[in-house]
Amino acid sequence: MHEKNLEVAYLLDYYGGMLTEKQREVVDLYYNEDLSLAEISEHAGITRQGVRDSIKRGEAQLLEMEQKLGLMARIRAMEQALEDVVSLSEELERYAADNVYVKPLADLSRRVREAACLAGVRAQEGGAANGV
Amino acid sequence: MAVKIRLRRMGAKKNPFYRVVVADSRYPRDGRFIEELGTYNPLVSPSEFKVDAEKVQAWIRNGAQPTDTVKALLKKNGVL
Repeated sequence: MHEKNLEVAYLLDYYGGMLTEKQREVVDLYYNEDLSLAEISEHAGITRQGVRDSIKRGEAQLLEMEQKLGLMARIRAMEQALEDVVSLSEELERYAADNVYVKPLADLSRRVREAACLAGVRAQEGGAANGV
Repeated sequence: MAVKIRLRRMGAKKNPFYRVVVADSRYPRDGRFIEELGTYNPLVSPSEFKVDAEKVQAWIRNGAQPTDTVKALLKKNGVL
């Protein structure tokens, strides 16, 4: 028994458009709807082996894309950095609120945080969207 | 026909999030499922997996087949 690598589901979000429609459909059914190869072959009307080949080829293509373009890694690093920005600005705001001399900083750091939240795909709101 | 326990992706683009659902294997796409048993969030580390263990066991006793992915998750989290 072999565990599906759910990382592929991310890659599909980034580079799915580079696959053919059929291929994307198959990879999507496999990773996002968690169907088995046999089930997909029933739905797509091709053999189980055909489904497997198609998934493997699609996966390889997605991995190659990531290796060459590195979008996913880059965006993840950016999101991580934005999360740090958010938490640091919160800290700064708390500090500024307690200190009369640096009051304007509170407002500035709030704006920094708002900007970071807007830029961050899932820094804050994304987490809430997950709950749906 | 077979009743399956499988993951179903919810969440947004680039932000995957899964529900663990009981569903008929014939209708993978129409969004219909029989019951929701829990959730799986691969984004946080360690990944977060929450299910109603009693319901899962009851469904499996009644012949529902967990997919390999769900089976692995159940094992890892000590439900099976």
